[in-house]
Amino acid sequence: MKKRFIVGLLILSLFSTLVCGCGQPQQEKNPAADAGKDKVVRYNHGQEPETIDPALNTSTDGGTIAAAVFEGLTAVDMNDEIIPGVAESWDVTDDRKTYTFHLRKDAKWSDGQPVTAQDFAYAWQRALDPNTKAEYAYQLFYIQQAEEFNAGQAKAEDLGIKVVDDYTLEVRLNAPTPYFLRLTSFPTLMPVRQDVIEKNGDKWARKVETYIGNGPFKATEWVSKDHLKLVKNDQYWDKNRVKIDGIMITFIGDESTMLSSYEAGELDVIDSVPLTEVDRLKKESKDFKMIPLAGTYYYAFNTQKAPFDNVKVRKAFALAVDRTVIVDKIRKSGTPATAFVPPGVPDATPGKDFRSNGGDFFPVKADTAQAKKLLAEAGYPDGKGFPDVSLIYNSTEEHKIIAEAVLEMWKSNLGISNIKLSNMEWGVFIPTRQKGDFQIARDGWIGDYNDPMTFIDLFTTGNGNNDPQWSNAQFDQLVKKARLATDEKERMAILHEAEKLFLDEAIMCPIYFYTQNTMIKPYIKNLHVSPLGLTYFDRVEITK
Amino acid sequence: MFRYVAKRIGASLFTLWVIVTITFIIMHSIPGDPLTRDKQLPEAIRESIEEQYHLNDPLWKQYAYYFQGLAHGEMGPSMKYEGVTVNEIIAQGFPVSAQLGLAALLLMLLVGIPAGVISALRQNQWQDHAAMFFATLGVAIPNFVLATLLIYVFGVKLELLPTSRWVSWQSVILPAVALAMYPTAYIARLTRSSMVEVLGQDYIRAAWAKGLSRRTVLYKHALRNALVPIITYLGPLIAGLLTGSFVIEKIFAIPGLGQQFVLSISNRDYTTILGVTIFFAAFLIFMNLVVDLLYGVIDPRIHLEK
Repeated sequence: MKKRFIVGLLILSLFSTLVCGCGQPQQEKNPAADAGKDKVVRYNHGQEPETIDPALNTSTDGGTIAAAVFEGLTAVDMNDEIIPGVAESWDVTDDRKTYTFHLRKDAKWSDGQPVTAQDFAYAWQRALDPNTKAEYAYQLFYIQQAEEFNAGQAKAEDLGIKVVDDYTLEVRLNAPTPYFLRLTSFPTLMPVRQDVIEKNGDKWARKVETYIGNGPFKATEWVSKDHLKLVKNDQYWDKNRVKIDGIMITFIGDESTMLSSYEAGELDVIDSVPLTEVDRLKKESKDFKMIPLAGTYYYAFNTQKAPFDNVKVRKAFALAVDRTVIVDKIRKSGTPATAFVPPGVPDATPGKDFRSNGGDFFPVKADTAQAKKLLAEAGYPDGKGFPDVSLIYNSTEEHKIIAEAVLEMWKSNLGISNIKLSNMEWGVFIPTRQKGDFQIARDGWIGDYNDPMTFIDLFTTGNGNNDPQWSNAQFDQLVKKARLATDEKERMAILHEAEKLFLDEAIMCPIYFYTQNTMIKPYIKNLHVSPLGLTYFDRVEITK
Repeated sequence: MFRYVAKRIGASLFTLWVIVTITFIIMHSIPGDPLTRDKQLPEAIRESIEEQYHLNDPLWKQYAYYFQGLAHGEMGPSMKYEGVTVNEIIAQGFPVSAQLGLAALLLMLLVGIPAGVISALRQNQWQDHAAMFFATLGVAIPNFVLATLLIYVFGVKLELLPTSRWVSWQSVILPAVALAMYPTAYIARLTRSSMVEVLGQDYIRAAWAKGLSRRTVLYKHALRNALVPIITYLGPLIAGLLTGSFVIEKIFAIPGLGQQFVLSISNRDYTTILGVTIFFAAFLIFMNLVVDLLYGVIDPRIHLEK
């Protein structure tokens, strides 16, 4: 009987599933059989970005695509140093406030048209135009009248952007901004095509036909929420640098699924892995890489609310955390955060970064004795009489296990056991934290640009991201001074002083510095992940 | 019949309006909004974006705007995905979810009903025990566990099928199996108990006594009547299967509507939440109507209109 056969088949298939599922992990087979034919990197970067319009994008995934399809005035090399992009060279006036960019004449859009200074002027003005709704418009606020224009208080003509001729662009800034040349390599400041955008409206960055760029790659196929295919752009002025035929970017959002897909040989690069798999991957696979990012995971103390309005309490809490345990045992990746500005953020002197010059403010292991002493001085010897407090975090497994571990450390090292964990859905958590409606809150910051300022100016009075709700006139003054400083050494010295001020006040408890947990097949060479989390493919080689 | 359908459609429109209104109210009363960001937006930028999406208007005005658009068949722009309308999100996601749902449905009907029938006919024999053992297992194992297992075995270890994504006909197999498991098991059990009950009825005994062939008794008299409770279950199930499953679509990275539905809520993508809700509700109402009409076809005892 047929039906009996079907039932038999069902039974058999279910049974075989159970049996096979318990097998031993085997050697990896079939190392990317089809990748070698046409040198395409198969790269997964999580959920499809909300937009890949360079002006509108705020995410690293969208930024990675924009950085492959477009090129700014400047670009970055393998060491994340600034190199010429569309601009061959530039002049800077002595007050460091006016930049004149000289554009190369052989830069072309993917449809063959030349890239001109007007393209940049249009792109920047567009990003600043309030009608564009660009959230990252503030990346351009360094330009004269830009902030006013964005708020509708100035005209486009007033902007400090001047097209001298087709290949010369003059930019006037409000203040010397030493990292301005870094910003010009950033997606928000990349050129876009006026004719294309005016013809297609906000749909231009939704279709590969109109998504015209001037970078090393161009888009040829896009299946929404599934994949975007980029191929080498033959019109790119430096096309000899590009050694691969293209990139297949897939949008698998689930970490376990991307790892399965990677292990099945369907992908060459994935840039996150499930935390629960990190231990196994570290042991089993040479492909596992921890790439440092310019970001810090921390707990914000609400400095306006008891008991954390007392600096001694805050310090005690920050000292009582064993950061090595979090990094090694709990999260299994990242590096212990001994201060706020992460490693890799440049300082005035090349070769040494801001962190190594600034030193450590918190121990990697808990300093229990000092923490207890401070807590006693604050009036809570051995945690006695400490009021009930709560720690809020947004509901993910990672935040939960870290919070539980930290709670345990505070309990055993400080003797405080009446701390409550309270998890919230993301959309509820963010406004709660921003309003300062908490005592301790999970927090994190990834730089908007690679300079200490993006980490330090958070804590100026009234800054929307000043989650500790801290306010200090001397600190505000220092940040202001740093913004106006023309000498880079002097500016960095001020920023070090400013960082020391809020770390001595322990307005937060830094936990770890972010790393991106990446799996890269050994035949993929020269993949560059910037500290801001953008992945660059223009120098990638496939060696097989 | 026609009057009945017209009446039902009228009632459905009212139901839909109630659903949209309740969703609108609940959606706006949960904390956070489409502009909730980890990094807070500068005030001026926030204001100009709110202006674009009418988010700074009073709620009743936003409600009116929404219905104004709806009257023209426009569900508005997504507040999360730049340059994409909700109509496009549904037009893109639904066919994918529907294809996967249909495959799962087919699998379920082809396996679940025969398994149930065989169990009922071979009551308490080994076929019955085996089928019911797996049916119990199928109901008990969560589909994400089975999905992960299937990916590991057929994708990673045996490399017979793609682990994920929606690229070829092979992509359908694993998610369809994972998606179909629970309803298949449930349908098998439902068919079995319904069939056992029907087989004990007098009219079946009469049919045997009349000397009808085994085929006629089983299929024409027994199975047809046993199908009524299954059809009841199928209506909402089909609506659920075709509009996509969040879990399965997420695990297999399938660009369907099920993922969008859940994501839009955590994104506070107001227009998408409403649009997908309306779509899902309308589909569900429609399927229930179809089921009610089918009763009349299958069971002559049921009359829709007196």
